[in-house]
Amino acid sequence: MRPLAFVCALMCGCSALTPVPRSNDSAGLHLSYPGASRVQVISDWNLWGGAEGPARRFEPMTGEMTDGGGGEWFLPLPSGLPRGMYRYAFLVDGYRLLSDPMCSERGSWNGHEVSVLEVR
Amino acid sequence: MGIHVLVLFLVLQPATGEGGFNAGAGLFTYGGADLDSGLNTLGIDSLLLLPSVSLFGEGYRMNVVAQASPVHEANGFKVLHASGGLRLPGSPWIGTEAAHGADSPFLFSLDRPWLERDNSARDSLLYAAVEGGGILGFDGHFRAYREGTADTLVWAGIRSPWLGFAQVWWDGFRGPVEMNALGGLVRLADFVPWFSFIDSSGAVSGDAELRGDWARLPASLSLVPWMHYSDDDSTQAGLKVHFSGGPAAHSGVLRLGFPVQDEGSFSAMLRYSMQSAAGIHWSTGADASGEGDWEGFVIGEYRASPAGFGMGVSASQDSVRVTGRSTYSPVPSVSASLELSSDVFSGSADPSGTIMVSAFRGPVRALLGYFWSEGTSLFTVELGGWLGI
Repeated sequence: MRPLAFVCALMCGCSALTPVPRSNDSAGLHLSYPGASRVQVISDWNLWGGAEGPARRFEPMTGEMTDGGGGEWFLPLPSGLPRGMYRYAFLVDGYRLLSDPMCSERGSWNGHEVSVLEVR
Repeated sequence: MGIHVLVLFLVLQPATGEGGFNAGAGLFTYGGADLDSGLNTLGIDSLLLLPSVSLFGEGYRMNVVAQASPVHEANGFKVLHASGGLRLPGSPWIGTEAAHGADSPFLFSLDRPWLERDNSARDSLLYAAVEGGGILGFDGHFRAYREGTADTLVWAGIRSPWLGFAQVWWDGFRGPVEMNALGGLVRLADFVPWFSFIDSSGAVSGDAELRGDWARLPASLSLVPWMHYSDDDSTQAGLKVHFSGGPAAHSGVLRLGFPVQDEGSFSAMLRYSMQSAAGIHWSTGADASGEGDWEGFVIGEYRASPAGFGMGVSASQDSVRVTGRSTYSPVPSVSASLELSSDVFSGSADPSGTIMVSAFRGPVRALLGYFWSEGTSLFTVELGGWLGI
């Protein structure tokens, strides 16, 4: 039982393994990333930040998130999205693609694992 | 193989407001050299100018995006995209649209697209459409695509309004793609079944998921039974267990699939992410199948400004790869990262490294990168921005 007790103590007491409270951002997307120079949301709804648009280039301003301070990045969801499923991901610093760590739905785009948003 | 220098200016602000006119131009250069071959190979491979104009107002819109290449004369000048649309307001409404260089058809389903965008030669794609709606809340469209001398692809679709308890949609394709797709969802108290069926050139498949609050457990778990039917013997049924996190910043999913027929095999997928109180972002995952394939990873990253660091381990049957990563952000909007990776147990360490520096100032973006692995050494620069009227 000792190993199990140790693991339980580690899970409950170690701040490195204890989740922080979730930010109140139910109306939009949120990513905690201190040190990022810019974070964009790229998705089916904005032609993947322009990568699937006419110019086939990531546009630096598309889906730009707002730094609310301390590296907490926010973006409200686009209004008027019809019901359905939408893939999205965070583009950090213009080159690093991350799925949403707070979204459990997963899909793929261009060989990358991305998140899936359900709009009811 | 060359060093690639990439400069991008996108100059058109997106259209906003009730109406107006936007114009701009962009510049995109791409050059290169291979550091293994010496710095004398450094050069600009291409220089692209991307002028754009758009005019829009209530009931109409026009947009043109072009590309000119002063460096590569062979590319010359070409219109990447030109579109115009009219819509008679009110309800019912009707609209029409035509485009050169249109978005190719795209249909997403429950967790993967029915029809993914085809990125090939989109600047030669012609498109015309008639759309309408507002009759009992239904919307519909009839779209035609033609690329070069290929057969015309026709896409018709109808989407119902929210019927109070359900919504359904149908899409049919004729031409190079022969497909009928039916999707929908039903809300029955706590039960929300989603379904999709597709008949693609005679091959029938379908997906169904039983979502809703019926199986939401106190520990912020929710259960989603699912089934994927296919007449090619890959029918599976399974369960997704979502860790929705509740008030804590963590989430995950465990997806289990079992073959319904004798053929096929078991599959499992796990993903879990957590932001810890100590500022460490954890993510871990694993994939396995009944055929013996498996892989997994765990990544811990302390994200901070000005400096952060992290480490990850990914493993599969024949490889255990360790990756270290550090970041440095001397001022806001400027960030640098160093990433080193190596296989620790296989015969070949296969080491690799990446240095990236990014900087943003207003609408201008600059990226500088250095990529290194055995036998390859690349340096890249990208610069982008936009100015418009």
